[in-house]
Amino acid sequence: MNGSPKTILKRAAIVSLLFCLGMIVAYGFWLVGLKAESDFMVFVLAVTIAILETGSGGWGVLLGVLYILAYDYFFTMPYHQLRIFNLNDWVACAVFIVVAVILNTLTARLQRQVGIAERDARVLGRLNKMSTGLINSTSAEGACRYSANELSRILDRPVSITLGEPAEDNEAARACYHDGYATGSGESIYALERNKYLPLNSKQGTLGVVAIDCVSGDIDHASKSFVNSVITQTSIAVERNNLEKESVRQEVEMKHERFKTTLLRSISHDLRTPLTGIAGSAEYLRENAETTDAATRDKLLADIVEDSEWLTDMVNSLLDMTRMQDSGAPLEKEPEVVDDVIADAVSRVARRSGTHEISVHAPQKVTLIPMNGQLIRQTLINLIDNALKHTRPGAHIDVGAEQQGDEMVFFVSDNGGGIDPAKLDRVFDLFYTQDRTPAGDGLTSGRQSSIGLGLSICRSIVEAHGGWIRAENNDQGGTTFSFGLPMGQKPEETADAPARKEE
Amino acid sequence: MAHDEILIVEDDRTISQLLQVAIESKGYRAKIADTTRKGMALFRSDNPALVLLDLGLPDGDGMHLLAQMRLVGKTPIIVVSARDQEEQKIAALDAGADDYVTKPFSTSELLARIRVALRHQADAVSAASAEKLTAGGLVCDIDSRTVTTDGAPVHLTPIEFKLLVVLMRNPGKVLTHRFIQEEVWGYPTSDGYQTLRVFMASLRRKLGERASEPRYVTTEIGVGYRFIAE
Repeated sequence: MNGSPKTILKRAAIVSLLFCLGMIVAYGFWLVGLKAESDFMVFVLAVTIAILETGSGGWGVLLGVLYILAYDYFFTMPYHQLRIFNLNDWVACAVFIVVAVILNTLTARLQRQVGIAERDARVLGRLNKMSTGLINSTSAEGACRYSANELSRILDRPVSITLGEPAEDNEAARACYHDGYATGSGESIYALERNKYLPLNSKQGTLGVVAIDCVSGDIDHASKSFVNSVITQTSIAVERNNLEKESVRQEVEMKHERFKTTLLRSISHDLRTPLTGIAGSAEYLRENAETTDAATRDKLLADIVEDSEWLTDMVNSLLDMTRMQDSGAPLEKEPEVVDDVIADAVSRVARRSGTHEISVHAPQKVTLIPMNGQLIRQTLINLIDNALKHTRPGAHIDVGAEQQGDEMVFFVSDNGGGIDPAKLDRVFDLFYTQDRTPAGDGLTSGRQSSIGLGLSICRSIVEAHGGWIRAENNDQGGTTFSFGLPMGQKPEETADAPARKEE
Repeated sequence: MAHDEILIVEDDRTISQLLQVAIESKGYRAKIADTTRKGMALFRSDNPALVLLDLGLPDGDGMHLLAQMRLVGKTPIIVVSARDQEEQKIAALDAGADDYVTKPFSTSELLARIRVALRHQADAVSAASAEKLTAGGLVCDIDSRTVTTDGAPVHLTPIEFKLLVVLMRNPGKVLTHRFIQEEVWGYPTSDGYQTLRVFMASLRRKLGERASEPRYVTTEIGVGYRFIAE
């Protein structure tokens, strides 16, 4: 007869009501002179109802005993005494009690079975839900967190799951991890620990350890199989996530490897050509010092200088490239004045501009933009160099920047022929080399081939700044390369404020 | 002082020989030191007119040698650095180097730098105490606080004026942001030299500078500024 006070009260009320009803009916039967058997049939009915309503807690049996006492007191000779003279009444009372007890026992058994079935269904539901959750997990750590949360909710005690080797100071957990057996509270080793440690076993060995707080007692037998199946599922989820991570890593590595191979192949090819030129020219000059005329000598020397300059550019580009590729870290940015960056870039290419004309168009206001100045300068240099290389002598190049909304748009524009529209999208691709030289103009001097690092570096740099870059053919019969950089915060104020303050 | 001697502190023999040939072809004398120890010894014994200092030396820190040389005197020092030594370069300029070249460099560019450094060495000595600074068409009268370019007056704010004076007193030398900041404002900044950059940009606009062909001031992005008047 256990349960909350409220259910006890309710069951007592049911029993009292049934007792009163039974007694009223029995009184009626007694008045019309029916025999004891009829009364007992009514009592059996009432006890059955009581057991169905109150369960196997013994309330039905109690009601039966009450009936017998009351019946004996009120309706058997001698009246108003707890004594029975009639053998018929004795038998009726005895059978009645036996029936009540049997009914009670049967109900109890039935209820227990219903309970088991319900719990099994609940456990199955939870396991189902858990396996869905684990299938959806995207990392080994996530799967462990999920399982630990669910277990701790269902077992109503702290549960944690750690992957990999447990901490040095936790001997029980380490034993569990290394031997793959359960340790700690309730187990044969380290039984005095506060926690129970269960291994996350897999084919590759133990993946981690589940720690269950058992300070409030060991987990009950029924939960154990549930815990075991959760652990099995978690192990599978961890294993699956690990495999997925590994395959992603391998794919990235493969791509990287392929990139390196392609790069190396292009570089070694591209390095060999100018090196052959330099070595050949130098050797020729050394061996034919006396016989070479001045014009030939100058021509060979100029070739050596040109080839070595080209090599220098190339090595510098490679350095930029690896710098961009290696640094997973965000760029170091400082506010730079747009004019300064453009001026520095232009002054650095000025000496190789030859007959090309370069005009600079600075923005109207002195504007600061957060950027890595050296890299943006390099971007402008690469774009200007590209324009110098791919346009005829005397072509005009405009370099500048202007604010458009919350962006600063830099441009390098030429009037030197333009690019095949079909190829515009690809000019920024790594290893893509342009063939922009207009056909038939006799412009074959200088090395037009390059491994297409310059523009691809520009793209990497601009994108690392959170900006965009594009190439398009313009009205002047040439190409405009432009890239936009975000302005950062309140550029106007920072630009104007000091000047105003001072005046 | 040996006015035509240039000390080359460089451990790569090919480069030091090339430099020697190039320098001697212009009528200077060249001495080569391949370690910091020899470098310092030659610096003390010969008192050269200029030093070419490679920052990556085998037996020690080029920066340390630079600091030692600066303790002795104001001999112009041009630092030779590799392309990926950006921070070292700035540290060297802050420590008193006059200029830098980045490997690989062309000999003609290097010779031009040497010429500029030697000429401005003389200018700077006279500029340090001068009341009136002149460079090209630019005249800056410190007493009356007036500035003219090609005869036309330029109206500068007090800070712009101070900036110009600092630049003109250090002609040809690469001045780091930090150096200028401390000379003009007298205290360090935490704004990434933002204010300095803005004042510098407005000063250059007032001087009528054009980005494609600067007459007075060039920018070295990430490093600082240089006053270049020829």
